[in-house]
Amino acid sequence: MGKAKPLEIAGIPFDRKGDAHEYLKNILNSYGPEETVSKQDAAFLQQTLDRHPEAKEKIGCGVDSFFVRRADYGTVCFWIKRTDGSVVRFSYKSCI
Amino acid sequence: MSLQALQDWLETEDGIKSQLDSLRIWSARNSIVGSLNDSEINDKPHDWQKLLLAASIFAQSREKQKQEYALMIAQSALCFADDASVRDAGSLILARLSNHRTINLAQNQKLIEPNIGSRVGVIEQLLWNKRKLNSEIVFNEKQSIDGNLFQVDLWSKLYDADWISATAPTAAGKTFTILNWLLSQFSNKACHSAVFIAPTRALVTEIERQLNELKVNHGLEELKITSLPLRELKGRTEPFITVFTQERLHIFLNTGVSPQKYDIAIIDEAQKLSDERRGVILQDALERICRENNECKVVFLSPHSKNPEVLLEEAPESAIKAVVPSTAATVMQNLLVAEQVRGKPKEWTLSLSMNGSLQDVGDFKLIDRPLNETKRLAFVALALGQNTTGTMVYVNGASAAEKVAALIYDGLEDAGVEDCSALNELSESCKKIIHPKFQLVKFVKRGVAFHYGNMPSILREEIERLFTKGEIKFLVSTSTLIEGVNIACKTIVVRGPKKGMRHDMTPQDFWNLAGRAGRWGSDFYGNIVCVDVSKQNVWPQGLPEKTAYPIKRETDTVIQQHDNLVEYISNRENMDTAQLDPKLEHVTAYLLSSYIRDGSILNSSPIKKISPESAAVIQDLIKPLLSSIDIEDKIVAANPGISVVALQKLLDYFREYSQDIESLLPLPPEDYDSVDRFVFIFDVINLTLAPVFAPKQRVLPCALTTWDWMNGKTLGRMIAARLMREKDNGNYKSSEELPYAKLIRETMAQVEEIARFYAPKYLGAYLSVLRQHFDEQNSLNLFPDELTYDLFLEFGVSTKTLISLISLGLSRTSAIELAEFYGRSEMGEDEVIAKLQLGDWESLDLAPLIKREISNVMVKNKIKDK
Repeated sequence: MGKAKPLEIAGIPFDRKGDAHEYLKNILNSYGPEETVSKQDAAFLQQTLDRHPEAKEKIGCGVDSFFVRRADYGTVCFWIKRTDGSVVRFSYKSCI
Repeated sequence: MSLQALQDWLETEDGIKSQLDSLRIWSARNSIVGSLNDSEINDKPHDWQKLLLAASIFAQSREKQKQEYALMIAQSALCFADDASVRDAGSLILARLSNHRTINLAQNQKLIEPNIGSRVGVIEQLLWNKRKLNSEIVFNEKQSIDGNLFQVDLWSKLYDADWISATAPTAAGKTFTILNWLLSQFSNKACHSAVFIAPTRALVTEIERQLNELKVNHGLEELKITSLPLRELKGRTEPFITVFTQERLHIFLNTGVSPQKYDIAIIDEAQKLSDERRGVILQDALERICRENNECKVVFLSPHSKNPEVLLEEAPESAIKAVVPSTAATVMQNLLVAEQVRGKPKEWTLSLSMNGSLQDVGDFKLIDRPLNETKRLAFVALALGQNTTGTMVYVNGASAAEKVAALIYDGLEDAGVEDCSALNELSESCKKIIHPKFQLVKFVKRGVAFHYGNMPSILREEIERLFTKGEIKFLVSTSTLIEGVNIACKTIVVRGPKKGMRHDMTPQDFWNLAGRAGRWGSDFYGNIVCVDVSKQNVWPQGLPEKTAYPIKRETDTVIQQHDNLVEYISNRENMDTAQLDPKLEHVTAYLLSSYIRDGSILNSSPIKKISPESAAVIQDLIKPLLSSIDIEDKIVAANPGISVVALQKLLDYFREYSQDIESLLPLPPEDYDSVDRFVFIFDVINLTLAPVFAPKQRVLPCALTTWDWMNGKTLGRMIAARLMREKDNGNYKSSEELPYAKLIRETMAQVEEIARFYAPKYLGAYLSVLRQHFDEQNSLNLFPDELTYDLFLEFGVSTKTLISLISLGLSRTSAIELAEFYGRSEMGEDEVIAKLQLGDWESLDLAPLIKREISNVMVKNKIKDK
């Protein structure tokens, strides 16, 4: 087995990817569908999003806020509401 | 000695108390002897002359206890005395008590010769005729009945007063009287529109059916009687009666723009004003009716209430008020205790509870060893009920109902039930409408059935009908019985009763339930059999003491618990939906709504009952809550139980929503994305209004049920789909392993609770706020005109054709099965009638009950085959 790689998002250190994963999953689950993410969590998500391979396309004209919405098969995921009102989903798993 | 003193003395030890007691036990024994082991009765001679004289003295009293003595003596004489003249004398006493139905029963059973009035002396003959005249209730020129004391009192007060509160147990005939009075108001042209409010859909259907049957006797064949909240009714020039639940009444009042001025409102089971949540909705409904017409005549009916006058507190000052108190019983009731003989599990004794002590009545044997609690209840019912009809068993939940019914069914294996076509038909219908594995399919063949709230009405009504007729001998039922289904029995068997799964039953509920034992005009005696009363864990309070319901409006109760409410309202603004307390939220919504309507809560009736200081505290808390509200007033009024704070949160959500406004609208069920859209809408409702579809994993199943239901899927198909899904999920290896009974029951419950209750209520609110949002965005042209989801969901259909079929009187089940064969979805009532006239439905493959229903509807609507 490979050695766990530590990482840091928004100043929070994680010993391994799995921990960051768990941390984000907890944030996701603390919101109901259609709920807007709090400012504090949004700051963390913003930095997570920056690590996304398609961050530029996802961010587009700029992020207004984050919210939780249904994705496929009844699951939920984070969505971005852009400053122009358009919305797009993003997977936090792609950011880690 | 005055008459009163004589009556008082008679019931003392110096009087004839010991003779009364021994007669009581003797008659109880005689009335149930057929079910007991030894049929020998210790026949001590009774001094009939003395007893009957006492009865005639007791009968002149208005006191309940004394009238009951008179009834007891009279019935004992009538039923069990050897001498024909004693039996005749018993029936004369009954005539004094205005109990003519029991006299008729005795005549039918050949206990007395007919025409008693002409067989007695001249004086007694005159008295007989006078009493008959006094108790006669004349419905119209052609029809009259011999009423009992309660009915006579009720009838006269209905004419004299504007606000009436009447209380009486099931067997007093209050529904029959009130319905005939209501119809007489229409035949006298004293009334243009009336509403009858009943607490459950089951009762609504029953009242609607009874009114439709009775109206013919009043020459009102053309009178429109409906339980559909259709917009067309408003502004209708011809008279009409609507029969609604409180929720349906709100739907109706919300339709269209014109107000509905009812002339008469009848509130059945008015003690429900004390219920959490629904009590507030009912209170609000009543206030809405009175606001639209201050002169509306209001009648409250409740079973044996302690304080029926409370209901009249809110009558306008000018209204004439009247209370019709309950009178003595019309049928003798035996409160019996069944206990196992120690060390002999199959041997049991039966005792009569009398003045706080137990008197041995006899013993009986169980069919098998009662190895668990369910068996104890089932086997006792079986032992006592197998040689008779009309045995009801009360259980604490739907699954227990099925288990007990299964045990009774098994126990009847050797009983040799004759082949009965009505039972076979019911069995066949259960198979077609629900599922071939539904347990009733086999149970009803031996005359055993169960009955609970979530069953489709077409089956439940047929079960009730066959039970009343005696074809179904055993009926196992849940608390639906307390919730108001007008059904009576000869014997009711209970063991540690609860209301619902958790709450202990109050003595009042117990006695409301017990009130169903003894069918007036069909039985002389009603038996309430309590099993294992000596077990403390089964009956923690022992035998419930006979007490009446104290009625207290839920709005009053909550507002008088001032501190809780104050704390709730002060925290309300920043609460998440998960923190909402449904009980407090309903009352908060009620208060916010009155503030918005009147500019103050100080004039609302429950607030007037608390101190001015406490009222001011609540008022001060409410004002700031409303500072940032811009929900239209009419939306607040139309959505009782949902606070304006929640509605505003929803509007704020819409305003924040940045995508295409049309993607907020629900989609018609035939659209591919319809379910997903329901999921989205339910998510928004959970977030903003109330967590009624929470947690989030539950949203999809709720949306699917709602969608299926609205899509007009039959219950049978929904159940089949559910079974299939469970199998595909891999939880069960084969079809045999599936817990059929449980899955069938759960699907039925989901339909009733989600699709027919929460979804219409909250979707209705969602759409009304959404409409305001469309208006604000100048997009009203994009908002569909005919979004009557509340109506569609309430009835589980989404086409005009189906609504037309239902409004002719068909149940949803029948309407859907029939419409499967119809190509067009937009047919009005006339077009549907034209189609039925063609008669081709007779050749379709439909369940027998459905065909019978269609044929009844054709008769009712005078549709003739062409």
